[in-house]
Amino acid sequence: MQNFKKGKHLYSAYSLLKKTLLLKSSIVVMIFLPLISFSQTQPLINSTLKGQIIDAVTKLGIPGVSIHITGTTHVVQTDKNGKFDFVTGQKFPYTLEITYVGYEKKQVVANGSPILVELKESASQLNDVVVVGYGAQTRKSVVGAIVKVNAAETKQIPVASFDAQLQGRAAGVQVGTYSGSPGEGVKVQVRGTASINASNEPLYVIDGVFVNNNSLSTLDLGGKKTSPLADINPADIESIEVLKDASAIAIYGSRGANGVILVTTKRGEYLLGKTKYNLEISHGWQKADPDRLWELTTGPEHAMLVNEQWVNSGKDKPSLNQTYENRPFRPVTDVINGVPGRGNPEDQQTYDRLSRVFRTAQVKNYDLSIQGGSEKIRYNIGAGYTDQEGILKPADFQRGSFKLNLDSKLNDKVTLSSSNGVYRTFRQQVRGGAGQQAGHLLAALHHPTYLPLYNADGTPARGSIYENIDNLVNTDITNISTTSIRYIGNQFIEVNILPGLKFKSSIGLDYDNYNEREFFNDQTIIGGSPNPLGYRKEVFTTSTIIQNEQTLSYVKALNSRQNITVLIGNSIQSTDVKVAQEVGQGFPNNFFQQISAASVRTADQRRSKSTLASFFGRLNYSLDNKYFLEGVIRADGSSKFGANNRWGFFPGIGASWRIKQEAFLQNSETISEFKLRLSAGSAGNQNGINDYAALGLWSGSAAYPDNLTSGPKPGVAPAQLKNPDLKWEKTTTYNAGIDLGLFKDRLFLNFDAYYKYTTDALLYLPVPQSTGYSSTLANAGEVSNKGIELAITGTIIKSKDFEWSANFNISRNVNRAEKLVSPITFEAREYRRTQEGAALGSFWLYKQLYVDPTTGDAIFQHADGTTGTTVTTADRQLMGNLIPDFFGGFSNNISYKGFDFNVLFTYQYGNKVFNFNKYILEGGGTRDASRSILKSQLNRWQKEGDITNTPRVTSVGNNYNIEQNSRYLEDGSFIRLKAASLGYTLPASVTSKVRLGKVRLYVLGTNLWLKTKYSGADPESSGSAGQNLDGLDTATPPQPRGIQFGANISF
Amino acid sequence: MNTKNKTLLFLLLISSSLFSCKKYLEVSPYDTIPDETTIYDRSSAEAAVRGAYRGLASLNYGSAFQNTILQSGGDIKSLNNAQTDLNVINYDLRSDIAFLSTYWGNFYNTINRTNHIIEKVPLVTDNKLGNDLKNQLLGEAYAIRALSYFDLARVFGNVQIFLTPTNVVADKLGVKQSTQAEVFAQVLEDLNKAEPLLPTTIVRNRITRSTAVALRARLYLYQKKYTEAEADINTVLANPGYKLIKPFNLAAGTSESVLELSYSVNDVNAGYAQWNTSNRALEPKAVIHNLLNDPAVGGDRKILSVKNAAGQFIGGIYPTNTSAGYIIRTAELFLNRAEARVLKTVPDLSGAIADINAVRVRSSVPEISASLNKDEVLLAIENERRVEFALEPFRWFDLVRTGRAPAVLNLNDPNKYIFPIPAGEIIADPSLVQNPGYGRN
Repeated sequence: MQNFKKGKHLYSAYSLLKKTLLLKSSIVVMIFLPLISFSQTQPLINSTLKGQIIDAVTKLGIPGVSIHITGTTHVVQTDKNGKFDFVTGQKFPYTLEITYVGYEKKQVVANGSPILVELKESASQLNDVVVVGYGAQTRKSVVGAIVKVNAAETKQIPVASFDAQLQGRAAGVQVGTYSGSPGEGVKVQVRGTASINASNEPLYVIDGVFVNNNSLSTLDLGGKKTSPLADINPADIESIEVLKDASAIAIYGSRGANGVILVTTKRGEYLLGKTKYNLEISHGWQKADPDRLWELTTGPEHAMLVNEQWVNSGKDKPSLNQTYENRPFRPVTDVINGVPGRGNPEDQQTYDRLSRVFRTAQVKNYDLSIQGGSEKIRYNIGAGYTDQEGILKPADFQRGSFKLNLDSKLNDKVTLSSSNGVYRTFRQQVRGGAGQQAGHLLAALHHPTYLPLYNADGTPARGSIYENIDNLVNTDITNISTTSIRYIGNQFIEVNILPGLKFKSSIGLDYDNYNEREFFNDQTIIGGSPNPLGYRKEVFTTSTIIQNEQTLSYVKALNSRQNITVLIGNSIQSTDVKVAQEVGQGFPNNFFQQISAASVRTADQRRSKSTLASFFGRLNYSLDNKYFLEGVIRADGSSKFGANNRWGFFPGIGASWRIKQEAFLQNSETISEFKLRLSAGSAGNQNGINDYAALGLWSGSAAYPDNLTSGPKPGVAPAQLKNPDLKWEKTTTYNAGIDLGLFKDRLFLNFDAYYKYTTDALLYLPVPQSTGYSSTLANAGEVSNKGIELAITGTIIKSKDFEWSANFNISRNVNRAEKLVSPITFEAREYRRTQEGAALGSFWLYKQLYVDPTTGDAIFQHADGTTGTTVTTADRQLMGNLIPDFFGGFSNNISYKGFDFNVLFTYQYGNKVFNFNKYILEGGGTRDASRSILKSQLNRWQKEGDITNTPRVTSVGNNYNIEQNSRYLEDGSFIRLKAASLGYTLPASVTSKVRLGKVRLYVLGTNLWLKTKYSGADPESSGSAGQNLDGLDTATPPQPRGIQFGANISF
Repeated sequence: MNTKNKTLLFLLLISSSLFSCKKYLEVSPYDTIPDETTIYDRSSAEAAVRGAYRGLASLNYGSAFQNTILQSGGDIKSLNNAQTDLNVINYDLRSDIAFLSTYWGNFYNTINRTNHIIEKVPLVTDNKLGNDLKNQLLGEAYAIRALSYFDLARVFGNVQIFLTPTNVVADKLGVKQSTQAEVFAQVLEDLNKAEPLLPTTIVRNRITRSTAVALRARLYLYQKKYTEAEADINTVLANPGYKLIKPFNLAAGTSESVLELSYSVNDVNAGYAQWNTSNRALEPKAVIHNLLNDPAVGGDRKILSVKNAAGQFIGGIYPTNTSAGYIIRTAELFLNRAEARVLKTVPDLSGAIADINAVRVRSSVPEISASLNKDEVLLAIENERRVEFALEPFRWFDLVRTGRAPAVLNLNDPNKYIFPIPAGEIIADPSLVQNPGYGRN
């Protein structure tokens, strides 16, 4: 935001426009109409000017606009078509001041006739331009449920990807940050989960390009996935629109059912005059909140618990032959069966590994943007560099980005535009898994504390199943990294065929060259003896999405009361993913790290492709600026479905009524806007299913030799049952909404209620494995989501020096599986189950009622109502789910003179988290030397009369050998101070002296406060990014607490 | 170009894209082939049979199956200490424990592969696929199916028998379970069919006639047909290609190997990681380690359990991740025949003792006395098998088969001799009935 000195640029050749407006207002001035000479009556004629004033959004002429030549008294008004002409004694160039009630005042420099001037409605919530599918609308004419998020507000949150920054900002949008490691996947759900096995992620469209949101990661990261959206630099984003209801999403047809997130990046401005530079620099530090990290038992406590369990188990089951005499932690000299003791509990040392893997991480961010424009060309250039270290060593995320958006008018009818983003990301990664794959966190957290870090001879010690932590955090020894080079761009040509009739054709590309590497040197488990020495893997994945779209739009004022807009278009898109992988094992020494040096080399390669073809249309009709109607239809054909059901048709209809415009409200002082919105329609989903899901397939990866010397020869085996009837999952949505503005929109309220019903849900129907298959993809379920959303925006105080505004949003979604052939459980451990009448993926557990104070044994509820220590599978029950009862966020923005203060809270209530990590680490000492033990284990039952929910430690019976014990299910509700920032903008009197525009300095704190009953590190943690596995906390780094200092300088 | 023309051109573009749409939306898979083009000539038939072997090697005898059976046998302990390990060692399995479903699915997956071969190979007309080869491929498929059903019945007891490939799910719904004895009868039928089809050559990593006969002998012990078992083993051991070699060593590729399964860098022997890497999942318990390292019991077989510098017991059966996996070793034939000779109607104790001593001599341990009585010989067989197959999934099945589980494992509930039918299977096919003692589902 910057004021340019008057006069200096006014008459320069290109800077024809004086600009005083907000950054986001874009003004287009275009030479358009043929020159028509006309006679005049004035004796002194230096110029004749003819032109038209049109609405920037609707492109319709505006009648009654005043056009005033500055410095004169000459004023004319436009006619009913928005046209004007006048003759003046002034010579070109001269400045016109154009004013109209409800529109932003605009000055343009006329340097020839005719001219076309677009006028923007004045900045208020109602006139805000909202980007919709294949177009834009003003807020007041919007029919659908659409949330617009201003990127300037969200981009400061120091997480790598813009989707994570949406948390708490938009009603109906639930964002879950699975892990505190930068660049990892985030869960985004718009209005609940409709799908069981197809993806529940929304569709992302960036500048018209359907971008890939599926992680290309192939490495074993313990279920963690990288976020493809983290490639995109949030600083390049102008606005984010979330489309939620049928009339908004139906234009995206088969891919819109989970909501659509439209991202618009910054563009230049024609006739901007002086080029604008904006520089943002920030530097910060992050670390894990020490109060939230796990507390482990000491070495002596660990040993004591293991001994106690040993003896108890021996009493429970004498055949185990476990007694106090042969307990594991007995004097070293006590050799039994040739095995010496491990030393008495009190002799054990305690080794802290968590402090070796957690660190204070640095976060650096630099962004430069250059915005400019002449009469024919406008551009915006963004260059950014981000380096975010993870609080878990050695995680690191680096992103360099370059963005160029360029528009150029070839002539008065044809505009060529180009949006280009080139991104390079580098991720130093950590493994998330357990066991041999030795997750970085788990190798520290799960390693028994009594086991030393180093052997007596100085070599790194390992536990029974874990890599040494120092071997993992040292990237010379263990190195897992990914480099991605990505291009997202859209090239389009726009032709104004006739007034109001516009043709647009575009070619979009999302190309990602994703290169993963792993190296384990000869000191590691994977790369060490007795394996061949050294292990290296290289994976090259390329994902190419190419799309081509044509649209034809027509805007027409039927008469002074009625307007229509018609849009038709087609779209084709192909998605092609190729993966090539090489592994080398057996290196001469650790200096050789290229596979060419390996003694054993293996390779793998695969490819998958899908195509989509679509036709779509939309009709908008408005009457008196009061009644709005919208009809949408899209037809999609997908290669993923059986030949019989390849095409799906998705219609949507919506209407809105601006009651405020009615006579009885028009003069109301209190009510400044009152609008009712209704919509219905359907959208589909096919995302996340296999590209060849409908086909019966045999796979070739089943080689076997013909004899001892032949070596493996090719073999085939059945891989998938065919389903030629496979078709679109279809979600029908009904939405009713109210927009209410009070006190000149000082208080603005959006309320929506919706009902979504999904039929033909795509799901991997469990089939009897006696078929030779475990599941087959079928349309076999019905799911409903219903919910309400409320967003309130208020300007509480607004004075010259002091402004206080607040935003609040809250959403509730109720999810239910309405019809299922049979209950479906997820993954091997089956913690979650979807069954008719309950929410998708409810926790399916054995309910531990209490611990018997007399015996110390866990007492479970049985299906028949009785209780006892034994269980069978029939006793499992659904016990809540991970869907919160309600969630949202609220923020306050306060500014006083040069100071500004912003806080953002996010919250959710009523969701459950299964603390899987607690189950592992509160195993009653049964895991002995293979896992550490949580301090909370000390609360175990020890003697008659003890009241506790932690049973007596024993390996016999069900105290500790039921994985799906409800004891580990916890309340995941939380409220979090996500961000708080304090900024100071230097007075213009100071900055102008050093020829700077605006200079803002700020300090930002993140995750400063968290209130939750959850006992794990972070209630948002989820072990795996798989949608049917989340809600299971397998221990991940918590979201870091951070502070950062930054400067924002424009010149 | 005027506007009208442009509009026409646009409409033309749209309509032409309509016509090309159909073709645009046909995308064939790259990594897989459609159902219809699987078994139609010699090389595709051979490839399908190799696929069945891969199922046998990498599914049926994948690491977890051996892990569970070894732990059930009582001499091997898991280092993972997963809670399901407690369920295994306490003989307290529940139907919702995930590995049960994995084993169940793996066996049936391999069975479905063989069913495709048995149905489709006879229909192939290809000059290059001569009768001998066709018979061989069919025989192998019958034998692999037999072995899969044999293990399925040993683990789960009452299972459904399917002898045709799955085309649609409904093919396999609503079929009553067969009893373990009925399944064993089906196994015998398959082996009887396989025997004449198979060649008489020796290919140790494929099934030939001797392999099928050796398998049948093992089955006969379960069916208590001891005379038949002895006769079959006599037939196999008459072939000089199968004999014991002194000193004891790992059998791969030698005359001690009757059937071994091959692995490669792409399809690794998962057993290697169970035993031999520095973060192994299984460990011989001290008791079996001490037996193996007792010169009078284990002898040369002490290489199966070695105490390392850190005092840990390292199981030594698969030297590399491409080492062969053993299904039948020549030593088993001797010990099987010993058992058959003791238990047949007219016991042949001296023959049995000779068989046991053949194994003991090759392992450099003293021979057992020729004067042992019947029960003593049976115990000697049991003890010999315990050390001979210390790291192979035998002991659990042996103790159950011989009725010794109560005495040795302190396991008195016979319901626990077979595992529960996986809960998910009962949901997917309600005609399945849970095994007794495991609740409703």
